[in-house]
Amino acid sequence: MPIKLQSILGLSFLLLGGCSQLHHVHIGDIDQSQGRLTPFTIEVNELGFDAAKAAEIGAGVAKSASTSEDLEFVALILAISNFGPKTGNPVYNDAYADQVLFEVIKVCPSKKITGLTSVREATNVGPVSGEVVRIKGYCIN
Amino acid sequence: MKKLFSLLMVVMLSACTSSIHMSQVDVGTNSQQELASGKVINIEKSQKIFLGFVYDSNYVDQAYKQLLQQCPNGTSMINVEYLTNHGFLSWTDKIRIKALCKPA
Repeated sequence: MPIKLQSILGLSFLLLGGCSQLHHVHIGDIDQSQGRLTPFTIEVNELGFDAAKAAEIGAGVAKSASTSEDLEFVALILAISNFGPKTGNPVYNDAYADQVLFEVIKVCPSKKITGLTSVREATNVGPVSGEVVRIKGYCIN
Repeated sequence: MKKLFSLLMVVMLSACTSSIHMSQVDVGTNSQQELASGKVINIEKSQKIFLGFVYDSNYVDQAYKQLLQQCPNGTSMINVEYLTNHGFLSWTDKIRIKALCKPA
């Protein structure tokens, strides 16, 4: 019973503890003198998953010592196989933000754009996250 | 069988992860003609790093030089993306530039 309670509490914290994290923001020139401004937002996102962290969590909640050791070993292998600097959780597709420039060009029929703000952020739920690139701006009408 | 499955899972999960650190879009002059008719160019430069030994970031300078060469009249819009492809005890840093060149 205590283990079940612990598991439920752990899962609740994992799900309720989801939080947003800002990694980078850039604000460009704003020109309000050319006409009426209409705001737009373009957002692309990808599933982020930290497999090593998931294996570590698994090792922490494993019932037997041998399973826990195996999972710790798996976490070590995953960590050294995915070596390098990370912003948020790793993703399995490095091209998810490749089309933002074309999306921004397409979004304004007038083709006049100003006040672009680029945001790199993430929404984390334990070892899983939504890795987001968001571009906000204004079309000049 | 269970261990083989676990090993396969580890191999699959350790393959080709990446991290996009920054992706920013900037617009220059608000010329309707430039955004409608400009030529889009793609530049990608990278640097392989083993065990964290990094001595320079020349690949960024190379990307910038190439941008100046390919857009001699300047750019009207630019997207810069900085990312890392992870690997076994090594990684590859990349800079990707997409730009809309100003017409001659």
